[in-house]
Amino acid sequence: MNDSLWILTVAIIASIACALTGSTLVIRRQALTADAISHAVLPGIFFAYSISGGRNSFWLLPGAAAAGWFAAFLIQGLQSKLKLPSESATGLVFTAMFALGVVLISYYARQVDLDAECLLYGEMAYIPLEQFYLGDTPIGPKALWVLTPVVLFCIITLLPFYRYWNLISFDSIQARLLGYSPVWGHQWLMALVSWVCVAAFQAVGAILVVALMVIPAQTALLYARNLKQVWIQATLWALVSAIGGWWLAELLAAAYAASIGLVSLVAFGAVFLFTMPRRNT
Amino acid sequence: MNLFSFNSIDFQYRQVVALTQASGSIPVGGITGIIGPNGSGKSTLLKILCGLLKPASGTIETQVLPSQMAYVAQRQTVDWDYPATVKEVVEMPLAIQTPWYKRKPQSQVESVHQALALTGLTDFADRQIQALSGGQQQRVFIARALALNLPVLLLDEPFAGVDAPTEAHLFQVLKTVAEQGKTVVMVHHDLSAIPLYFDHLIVLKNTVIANGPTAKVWNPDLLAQVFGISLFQKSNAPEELIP
Amino acid sequence: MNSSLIGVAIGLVFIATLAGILSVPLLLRRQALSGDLVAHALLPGLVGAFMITGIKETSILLMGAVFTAWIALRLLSPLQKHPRIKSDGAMAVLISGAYALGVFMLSLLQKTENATQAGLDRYLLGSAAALQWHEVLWAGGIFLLIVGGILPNVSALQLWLFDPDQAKMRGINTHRLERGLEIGICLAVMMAVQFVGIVLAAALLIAPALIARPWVNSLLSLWIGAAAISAFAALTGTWISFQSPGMPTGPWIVLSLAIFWVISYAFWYSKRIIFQAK
Repeated sequence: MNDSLWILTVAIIASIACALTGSTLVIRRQALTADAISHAVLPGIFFAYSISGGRNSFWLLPGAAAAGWFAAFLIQGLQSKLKLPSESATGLVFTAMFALGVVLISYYARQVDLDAECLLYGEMAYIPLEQFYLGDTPIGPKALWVLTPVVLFCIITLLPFYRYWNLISFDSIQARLLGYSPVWGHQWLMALVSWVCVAAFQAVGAILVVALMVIPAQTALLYARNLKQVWIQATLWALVSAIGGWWLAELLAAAYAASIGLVSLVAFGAVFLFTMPRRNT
Repeated sequence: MNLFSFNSIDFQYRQVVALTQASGSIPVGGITGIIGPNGSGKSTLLKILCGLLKPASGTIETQVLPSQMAYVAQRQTVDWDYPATVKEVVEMPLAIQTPWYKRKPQSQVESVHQALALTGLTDFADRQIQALSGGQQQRVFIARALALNLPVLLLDEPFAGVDAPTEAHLFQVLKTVAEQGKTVVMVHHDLSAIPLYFDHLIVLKNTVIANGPTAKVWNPDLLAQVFGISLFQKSNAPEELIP
Repeated sequence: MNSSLIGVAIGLVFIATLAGILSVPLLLRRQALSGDLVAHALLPGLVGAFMITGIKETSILLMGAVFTAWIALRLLSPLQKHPRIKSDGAMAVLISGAYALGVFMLSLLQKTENATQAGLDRYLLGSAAALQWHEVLWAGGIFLLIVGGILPNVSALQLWLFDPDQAKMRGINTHRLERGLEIGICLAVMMAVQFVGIVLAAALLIAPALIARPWVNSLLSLWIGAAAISAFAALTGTWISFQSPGMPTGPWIVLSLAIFWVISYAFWYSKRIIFQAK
């Protein structure tokens, strides 16, 4: 398969994973958690790399989940126990964890083969270059093999449990009374977000993961009538962004990930203007 | 026969004492009101009764399990901008009991339909909750509890921020439901219509000041003691002008 | 080596203290992440200014950067007028969207083999060690400018931060105060980003006020406390980072702030417990 098409495939898979997790976050007013976790996983990635001594992807997912959970746990704790305003709690935790990550990576740069810049911006053009091999035959880009199980996890644990996610997101008190723990859902969502961040980082880079998570989701939320529609519409907008962005990048020889992010922003702007209620006097 | 009896309940949120040595009981059937000034622990008591909170000390005896109680929280505990229709909100607690690969049972559809009709929301069934007024939102919350068809209904300030006609209508709904044999326990946020609404009262000021049938318990001195106001003031006008 | 250490320290103290002062109104208005937004939204303006003028002159580039950052800030409220957009959604969309736009524009530049644009990358991750003396002067100048803007308006700011509606009724020009605060944040973050990078610049506008908050009772002391804490963190961070070659300064300033926060709240919490026990 042609290089460009591999990139497109990865973009599509990544956008589905981001849209599903992102829209669940946005509907729960946790959009900034996506931003926070995408930065907070950095120390987790460092520890994963230092344990595995190389670019072994296996430890990345648990490492990322641990860091993501820890960040979400701290943020939640600061808000509820110390009554910090939510933006302050979020900002404090993720910037401190990010700083820790940068310090660790800089200090142990020789022992740990981690390119911080690559992590932050990603470079989709390299995707086809890093393939998994079965013997001597390349069987697809590594990014794809990491993303696919993650996206399947997202689909399997979100979609069939729509009623549960809907209940705990709308009214967690009612959920508790009916015997459905909102805490499980919350923790699982944090883990999913952390995994999607790490899986997509290598492909699209940190900030652009956040864009794909939040922007198509918010676009869908502008007009969707329930959570199911939000999931579907967010995925559609994410696909539009992925395909449109890929096409734009090919056309202008621009960066793939940034183009995808840009297309999603433009789509958001258009839908925003279209759905904004006219001011009645 | 008492539905709830509680003894020496203590509860505090961090530094703030909500309940101290609160003891009382709520009978089966009828409408019981929990009244008291702001910060007197009314919501806390209600949450303890339905099992949302555990008291630091004291005992509670209930004749029904928490799963047999429908709880209506204060309206602001929910984000009313959430994308959902009135019908979807009302059927949410029922829908979750059906696995995703099965169709909704007819009985569930019926219950939802009836609850919507009872609260006057049939025409609003497909409206987004974001487009509702405060009074309509309160109806949705109550309809959701009614759709569960449980013997006990616990409501936290259901008439707060609701206009008079809606309050009258909603009270009628609760009265109808009580007449069908359910027990209604309600935290009421002000002093209006207490003898009219409630068969039994718990008067709370961090501890139970009075508890029993309204007719026996309710009097102006109680009002003065609990709320610090008096309804009947000695007038300074000359006697001839007092009618 | 020593004079560069002093130069870096002074420059960073100016930058951090300015950010610390601005963190106070942000905390009180619950807009703590505005710094994060500004830091990300600087990029498109930076690149755009270069694209339009072709000149890699710092002042022009930074003007462009401040311009787009300011627009992004101003977009926050119109976005929230939509019934389905909340503050977190608006913030997240603008942060990631503006940054994506910036990276897109940068990538367009990179393909044109234009060697001069390579320096733009430096603005993204920041590099404190390269702090030049003329940049220290810039930092000092902007610091004085903004402090000079705050001091005459202290009482108006006090009322506005506590009760904006009341301030409006008293005839205080709240629009001017808001615009002033926005420009101040854009300038402060613009300076900070060059030396500590995007994410960490945001931290400088969040942590100081938070650290000082439990210990003070008036706005003025909150300002002084936040300023002192940020200055101290800048010095601590700079000193630590200079202990080892290749150690970045920005993250150590943020880590210092984080440690101060832990200390501050640990003390506050234990004080509360002791107080309760009495």
